[in-house]
Amino acid sequence: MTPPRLPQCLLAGYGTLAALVALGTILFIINTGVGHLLTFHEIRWITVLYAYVASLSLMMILGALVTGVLGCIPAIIYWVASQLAPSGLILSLAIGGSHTLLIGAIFLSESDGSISFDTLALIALPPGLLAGVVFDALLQRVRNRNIQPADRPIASSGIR
Amino acid sequence: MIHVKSPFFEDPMTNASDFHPFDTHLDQDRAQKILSDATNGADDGELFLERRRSESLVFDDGRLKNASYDASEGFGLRAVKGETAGYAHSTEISETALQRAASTAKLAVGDGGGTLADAPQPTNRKLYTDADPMADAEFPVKIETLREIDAFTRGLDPRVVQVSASMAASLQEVHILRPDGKLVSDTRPMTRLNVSVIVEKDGRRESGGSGGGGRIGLGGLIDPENWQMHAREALRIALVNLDAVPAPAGEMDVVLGNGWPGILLHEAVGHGLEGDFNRKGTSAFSGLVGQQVAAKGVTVVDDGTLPDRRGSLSVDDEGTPTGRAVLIEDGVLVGYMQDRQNARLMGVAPTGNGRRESYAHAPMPRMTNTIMESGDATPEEVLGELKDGIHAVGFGGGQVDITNGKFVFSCTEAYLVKNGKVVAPVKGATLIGDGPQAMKQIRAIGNDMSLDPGVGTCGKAGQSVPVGVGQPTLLIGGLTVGGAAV
Repeated sequence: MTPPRLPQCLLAGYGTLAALVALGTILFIINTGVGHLLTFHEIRWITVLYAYVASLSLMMILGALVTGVLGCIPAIIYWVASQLAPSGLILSLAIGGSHTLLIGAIFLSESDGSISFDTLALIALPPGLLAGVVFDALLQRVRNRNIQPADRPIASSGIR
Repeated sequence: MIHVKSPFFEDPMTNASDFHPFDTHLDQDRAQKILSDATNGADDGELFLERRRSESLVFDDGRLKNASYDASEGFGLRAVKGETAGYAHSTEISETALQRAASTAKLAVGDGGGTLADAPQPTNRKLYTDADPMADAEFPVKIETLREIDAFTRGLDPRVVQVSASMAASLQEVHILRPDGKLVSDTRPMTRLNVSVIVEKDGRRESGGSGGGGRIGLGGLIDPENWQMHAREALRIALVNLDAVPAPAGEMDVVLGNGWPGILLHEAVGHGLEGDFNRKGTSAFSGLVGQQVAAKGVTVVDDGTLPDRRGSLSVDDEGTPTGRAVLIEDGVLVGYMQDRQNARLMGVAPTGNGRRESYAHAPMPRMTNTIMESGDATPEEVLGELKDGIHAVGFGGGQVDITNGKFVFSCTEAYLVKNGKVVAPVKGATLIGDGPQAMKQIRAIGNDMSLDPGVGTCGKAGQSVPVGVGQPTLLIGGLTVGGAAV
């Protein structure tokens, strides 16, 4: 398979950010809705889960929005890497990892030190890996869309 | 490709077979050495050298509207290992270009380990002349013939408002060198003449067309008896369409005329029986050898050995002599059309169906002349069995999805039949169906098999090649007809 073209990677990259915003928003709305039913007098697994999902969804939304311009960097890295080596899901997940670092680094720089890097990485890892999976799926779709009709098994005949 | 502009205006009398690349461009021993190195460890491979010259004249709207001459030459070098083929081509026939192509093509060989397949059996058979058809008539004679066709057709009927007449001729010369040094050569002429007519009555315009050709000289085509027949036929079709009503829509029985309507057979089953898609298991006919795939009495062959026919070849584009491949016998699938690569991978013999559009294309399994053989019924008996439906006599073009056999075809001349009687000509009829099912729904086969007049071109994977078709009058039950009538 020929390596993807840079515009295809950029399209998939920004599609990934858009998907993260959309997923984060849905998650945030659901989580907020569930939050009304919870009591926070004591720490239970459900309240921890609530706090985690709240942070996760905010990170997905704000991280994707904040990295809107920088979001092209993982796509460019992917493109460069795919010219050198066969591309695939593994490489996409690595790109997801770089998303994680990007998101985490930005949040860390904005934090007042009350949140540790370990915690931040733990929260940022799922959206990063999710970004890798979404990126790979979108890239496949973008590339399939560019297959010309001549590649389809259609034969034709006529008077000529 | 090299496109040379129009030297034929100056000297139409060109020598037929003066393409000798091993005398003028390459040293044969050196070329073979390069080819052997490129195919070392491969299963197969060849060097395909080609020169093609063609001219086309179009007389339209009462004047010569287009005159073109093209000359192109080049080579294609292929190395095949397993399912992988490396192919490189160039318009420059030189040792440097050959070296460059060889280094690209041999990438397909990888670590090697293949055993080079035996070369095809040689043949001295010649199915057509090797004379240059472009030299059959002087340029002024061709122009005058087209002018006469235009005047004659316009004089046939006052309703004729437009006439287009075209004439085309080409000569393809090929040499196929194999790694073991065997060289196969073939010189292939092709001619074509066509007349199109537009008629008008009460503000309504309809068209009709007729033509013919083959691997023959231009002499027969520019004979007045021949082109007058085509002019009358084109006018007849146009006048029939002038009275046509919108075609009905729905599932109905269809009688196909003999000859050119066989193009539906070409699409409906022919492509599905080409070796490549069957080897991969993606054809609608994959894995069905030995099974009943058509109604009893249906026998379909692909015959590349018919003299002078448009789809015929003395040898295919891999150097294999063409043959008569029986595909379906009495309704049972007995084999596929094969090129060398797919034949080897499927463990069968090549059938001489490896074809390519030009040196710039790798060969693949393609049809030559695809024919359904005659049955026992007279055409009248076949038509008599059609109570309500469509009698389709002429077709334009169509297409098929090879993986599921679904085809669509547009009729250029068709008639609506009700209660066993022809009611009216219809226009805009489209036949839709799927090949395997249509073959099982054949209810009657006429005894009037005829071949098409030599007008068909087949496209697959971006490559166009001339083909022939033939069939008797045929009744197929339950085809979907697409039409505009409500």
